[in-house]
Amino acid sequence: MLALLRDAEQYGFELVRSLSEVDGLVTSEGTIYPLLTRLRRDQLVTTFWRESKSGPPRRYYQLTDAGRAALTDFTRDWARFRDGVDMLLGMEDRHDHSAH
Amino acid sequence: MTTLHTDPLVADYLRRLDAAAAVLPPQRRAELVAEIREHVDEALRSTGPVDEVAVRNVLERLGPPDEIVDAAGDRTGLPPERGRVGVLEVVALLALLIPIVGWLVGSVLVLLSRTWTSPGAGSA
Repeated sequence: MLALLRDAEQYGFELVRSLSEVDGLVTSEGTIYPLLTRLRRDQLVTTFWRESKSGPPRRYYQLTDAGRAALTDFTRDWARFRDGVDMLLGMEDRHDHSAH
Repeated sequence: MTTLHTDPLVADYLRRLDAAAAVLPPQRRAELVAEIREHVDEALRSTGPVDEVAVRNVLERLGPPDEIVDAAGDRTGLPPERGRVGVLEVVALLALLIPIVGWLVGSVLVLLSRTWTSPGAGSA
């Protein structure tokens, strides 16, 4: 698993294209670059250059420990949020049923 | 540098981006333009025949220079608030965590993007 995480790196262009494939998330691919710069500045990702056969060297992005920690935090917060919403929806459901 | 920059559409786009980016610190401005230039090169390398349609599509997908510069200007000096990571940031981090970014990750994240709103989220 750790090996998988270590190898999970992508270069800018492929990362941007991957993200733009998530329906409804991105309307302007160009705005992803400043976002990646912020992640770098906040030290959630790190970058390195690697030679490419098809052109100039590419910048690769990789998670840092802080980045993984941020994801863990988010996952935990999200679970709480989702459970809260589910509960509210459940209450809404029961209210609807009792009203009819 | 490749000859792709001599394409007038690309040159014009990069010129407009550079002009819009004048509000950014010089180093940030140069870096952003370089990144976008590199993106255009890479995109056109992978599309096959480089005709006007291909160029226009790449630039269209990139989006308006103003939007890109706006995104670069967000929170430049401010530290991120605790727990306030935007949806797009999370998606980007997830994409790096999971080597196979495909329909599985995508469908989970569509759900996230629809129910999670934050001022930090991109242009979606």
